[in-house]
Amino acid sequence: MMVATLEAVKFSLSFLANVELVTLFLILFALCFGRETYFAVGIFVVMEGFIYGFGIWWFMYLYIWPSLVTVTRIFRRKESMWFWVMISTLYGLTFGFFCSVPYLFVGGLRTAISWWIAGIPYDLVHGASNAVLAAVLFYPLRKILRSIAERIGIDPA
Amino acid sequence: MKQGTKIALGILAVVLVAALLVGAYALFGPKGTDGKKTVTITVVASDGAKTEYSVKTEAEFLKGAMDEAEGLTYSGTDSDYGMMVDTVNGERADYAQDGAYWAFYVNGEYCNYGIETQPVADGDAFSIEYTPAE
Repeated sequence: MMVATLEAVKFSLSFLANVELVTLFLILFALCFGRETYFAVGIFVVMEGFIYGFGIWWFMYLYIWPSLVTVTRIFRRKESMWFWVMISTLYGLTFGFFCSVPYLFVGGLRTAISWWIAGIPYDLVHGASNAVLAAVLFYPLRKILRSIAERIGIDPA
Repeated sequence: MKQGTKIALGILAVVLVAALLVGAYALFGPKGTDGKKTVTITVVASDGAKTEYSVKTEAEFLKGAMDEAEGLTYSGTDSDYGMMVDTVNGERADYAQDGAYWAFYVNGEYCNYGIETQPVADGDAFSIEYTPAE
């Protein structure tokens, strides 16, 4: 269910560059379904590779999404919506920076920095869109996902 | 700590990071140069055939120079990092459908920027190569 949702929300907004719901859903999944989210994110990343090809971006996906789940798990006791809006926003703003890591190994520090700098306008859009989506959808989606987790007996701790 | 203070600190953190990004882009981001330039754009098709275009242009970025290259046609889709060119001179290189992509080089090095932000300098030699995915 989690993987299908991630693929569906990714595809549904793919026509809008740097506007995505994967960040918000991964945060919510990690809050409501706990460690199970690591399995979902693993399958999601492998599926993305088969759908779009195993390019250099795929190696970014190997750590960038599981890292978000880990950060969420660390702060899982935080209930405030605004805290998660802030995390979503910072994640979008720093997405390019953390994604530039594979370029360190491909072309060196200069290539990695150039790649990151070139993507900054897109990171700004990513951060802003993450903020808006989290502010609008965090509460209603968390309510739905928590009720599903309770119904199927998943303890998010 | 009060809830209001926490929210204010969160907003401050976000604004700080955003300001750092804007500053880094303003200082180190791609910058086009004014004036006339002569550049070459070489298209390498899937069969290895090369077509070279010599372009005299005042464009600051590669897309402008490509638009002025007589006979060169291209199209693509918007992606997270600008226009993703998938068709050049009528030949499509779409990863999902063809298992290939169009790779962009400037003076023998892989272009770091999308075509809208790749700077153009006088004497640059660009190359657009049909590249099967590994």
